[in-house]
Amino acid sequence: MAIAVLLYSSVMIRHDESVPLPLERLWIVSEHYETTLASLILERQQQPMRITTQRVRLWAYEMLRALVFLHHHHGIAHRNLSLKSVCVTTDAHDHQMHVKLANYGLYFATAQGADVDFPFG
Amino acid sequence: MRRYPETASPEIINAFPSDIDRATSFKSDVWALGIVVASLAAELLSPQVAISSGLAQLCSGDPSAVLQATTQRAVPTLPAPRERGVGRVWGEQQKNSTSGSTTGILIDIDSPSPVASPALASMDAASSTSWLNVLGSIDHALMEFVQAALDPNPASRPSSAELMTHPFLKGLRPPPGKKAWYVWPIVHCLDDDDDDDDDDGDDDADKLHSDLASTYYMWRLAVGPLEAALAEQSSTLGATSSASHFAPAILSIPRLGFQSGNDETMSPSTSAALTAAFSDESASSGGAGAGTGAGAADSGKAPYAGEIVPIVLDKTMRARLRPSELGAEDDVAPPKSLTRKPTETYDINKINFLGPEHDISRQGNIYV
Repeated sequence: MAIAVLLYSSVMIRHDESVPLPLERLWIVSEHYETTLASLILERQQQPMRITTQRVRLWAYEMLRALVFLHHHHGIAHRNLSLKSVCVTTDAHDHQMHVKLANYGLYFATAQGADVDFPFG
Repeated sequence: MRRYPETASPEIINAFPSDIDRATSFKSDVWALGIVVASLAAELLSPQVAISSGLAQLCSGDPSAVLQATTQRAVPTLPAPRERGVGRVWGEQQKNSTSGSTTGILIDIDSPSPVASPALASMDAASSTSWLNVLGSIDHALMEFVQAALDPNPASRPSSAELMTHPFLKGLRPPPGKKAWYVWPIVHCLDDDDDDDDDDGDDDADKLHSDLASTYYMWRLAVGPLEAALAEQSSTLGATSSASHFAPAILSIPRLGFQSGNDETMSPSTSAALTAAFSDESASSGGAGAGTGAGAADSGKAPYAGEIVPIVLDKTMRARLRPSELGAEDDVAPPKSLTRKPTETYDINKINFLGPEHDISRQGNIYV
């Protein structure tokens, strides 16, 4: 889709690279996290790990805070919030697992979901 | 039938596909958050089949299941376990066609619905309490939190900011120096704190931040008021008028002139299409574009207002034009959803998104 191709192809080329990206493809480069909440649940079924209620509470707080940030500070609805779109990362300071929201803004970038073959909320 | 994401809120599932944009609001994210938190609690805290199977109906992505779960038995208030069956029922449709139960539980396990999963049907008596009650046995505030977020009525569902004040989250504060750390990547570039060597902690963190700053800016363009931003950037080019509605909005054909070109590359059908495409625009803009056209601004030569500017279209650009303007050879329909007013001017010289093989200065043509 044209908007996305234009914007993201110009966005996603880093400053020290001059490689043109092919057209008609949507390139969205983002931070990479191995673990999402969905994969964490799968992991836990094989390898027990202790998750306390307090941890879930903290995660809920972090997700909600991210939503407030998106909603009220930037007027953006996530529209794709699910277990798969919440990344889990370990903070370097407190060595605790934190969550980050991912995959927001794709709804707009894909022409209200028309350009992709998977559904958007 | 369209399958919805597992966190799709009732108002999304209720909406017609054409109305889905209007139906969606920030409240839909709150619903999704409720699903996520409840799923976390069900899977991580207490892997009880009661919770997960109760959630399964809400998360099934099946419109009929979710609709039944929300319209027939959903209720904003949760009765205590001993009050089951006398709870207040949300909405008018409190009749349960299968069991007659009027329990106020969001999902009532012991009254299996017609769309009940095998897990639901195999519920024994021990897990016959509702999944919300099971959740409440883990943490009552957590249950209330989930229940508030899973209000099927988006009007009464709390917003994200309102939900922040929920007792479940009482006492939690954001970590210092990380204003909104939980969202990436835009957070990193918005935080100007000195001590924001955050979780990554690698050497090129600063570089990453600068990249993300530009990324965020462009990303906001993609989501935000792009026309306004572009108009501001190209305000010196002037010549904005109500152009005809090309799709997409951004890449409407600018009124550009060129010195020399290879006209033989343009097919007759494309030329006719451009003639049709520019005719109404030229009529509307008229003399307004005189002297302010993009090409004329630089060269100072005669403006191109009202003229048909030959532009060599590549394949992708042709795909964006209306098929009727291009003839039968193009069968690619433009996306129907792009109905925003197009931006007429932008600095073409700064956007060479076709790559070096389409260098503008070398060929003398303007590729769009």
